[in-house]
Amino acid sequence: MPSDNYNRAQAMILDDKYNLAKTGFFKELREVVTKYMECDALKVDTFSNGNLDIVITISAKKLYKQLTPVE
Amino acid sequence: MARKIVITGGKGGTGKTTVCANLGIALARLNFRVLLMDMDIGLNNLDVVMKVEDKVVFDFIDVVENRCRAGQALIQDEAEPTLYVMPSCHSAKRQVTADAVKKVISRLSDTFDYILLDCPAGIDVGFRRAINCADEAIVVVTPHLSGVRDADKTITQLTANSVSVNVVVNRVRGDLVASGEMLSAFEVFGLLGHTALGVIPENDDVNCNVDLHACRKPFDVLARNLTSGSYDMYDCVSRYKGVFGRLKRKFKKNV
Ligand SMILES: Nc1ncnc2c1ncn2[C@@H]1O[C@H](COP(=O)(O)OP(=O)(O)OP(=O)(O)O)[C@@H](O)[C@H]1O
Ligand SMILES: [Mg+2]
Repeated sequence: MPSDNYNRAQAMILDDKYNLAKTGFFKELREVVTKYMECDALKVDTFSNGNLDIVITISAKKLYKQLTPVE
Repeated sequence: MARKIVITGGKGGTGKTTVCANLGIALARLNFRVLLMDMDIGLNNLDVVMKVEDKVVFDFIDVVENRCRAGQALIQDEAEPTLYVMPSCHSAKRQVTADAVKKVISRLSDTFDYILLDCPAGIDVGFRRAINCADEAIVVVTPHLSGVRDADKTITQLTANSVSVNVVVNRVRGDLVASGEMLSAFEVFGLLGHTALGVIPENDDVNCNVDLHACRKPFDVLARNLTSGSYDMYDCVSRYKGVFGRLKRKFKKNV
């Protein structure tokens, strides 16, 4: 099991490298998400596990009902 | 042709100069011809660590600015006849370019097997000048979060400049690794990637710099890995494991 120090160091390094929160990706993601729901928080974490795992966490307050399919 | 290796690390005080000096000694003991070049203009300390500060007549800025020949700025080590130091100085009148330093290095390249460049901290002018003169780098990193983070940024710059990267983890406290409080050298290697070259423990002899030859073993292992491509890692952790190890840990922490 990786130590807490290891997890923190890895998060820091990946954040320095990719920092999706500072890129257009994050902005566009927010736009898409807010079309479908009202949310408290939106978080993007990166983990390296051989591959790069990107975990998007959305804390949704209210999900809009989408009766008609969006094109 | 000498292998030109820059000893860098990003953060200040990770032990770049210490590793440069001790690795130089270990390489000379393997009968290689070694030149240690202080690339830190301003906060130059390699001469002090190598105990030659009272022998400095010319420095590498004098060579760059043509006030002397390269050979005149070389100081031979007392104990190891194949080991030389080229000191730096507190300031340079004009901007010293990487090209000017490269010229000096290329003149000495056939005389030595290894040229180790002691790089200043940080990733600005001095760093860029030093890495421009090298084909390989040894990144000296301490097993602390801030150290690992800065080393990673340094490595990004090195790889962007096509300098191949080797990693040395310095100041490892075996007792703290065994108790899980400090990142292990292998965790640091895993985080940074690239070639794992060596592990240097936190050591009082190294810290006090009384006798550079006192803490030989980890540096000898490091020199062998560098010269032969072997992959031996100095073990400073297992003595702190098990029942006796736990006792030693307790004792070490409380003094
Ligand atoms: N393995 C070690 N064990 C104990 N002390 C060490 C070790 N390595 C380095 N030190 C001590 O840490 C201090 C800083 O080391 P050093 O000058 O080599 O770092 P540096 O990276 O060259 O610093 P700078 O960024 O200022 O050039 C010195 O006092 C040195 O003796
Ligand atoms: Mg130094």
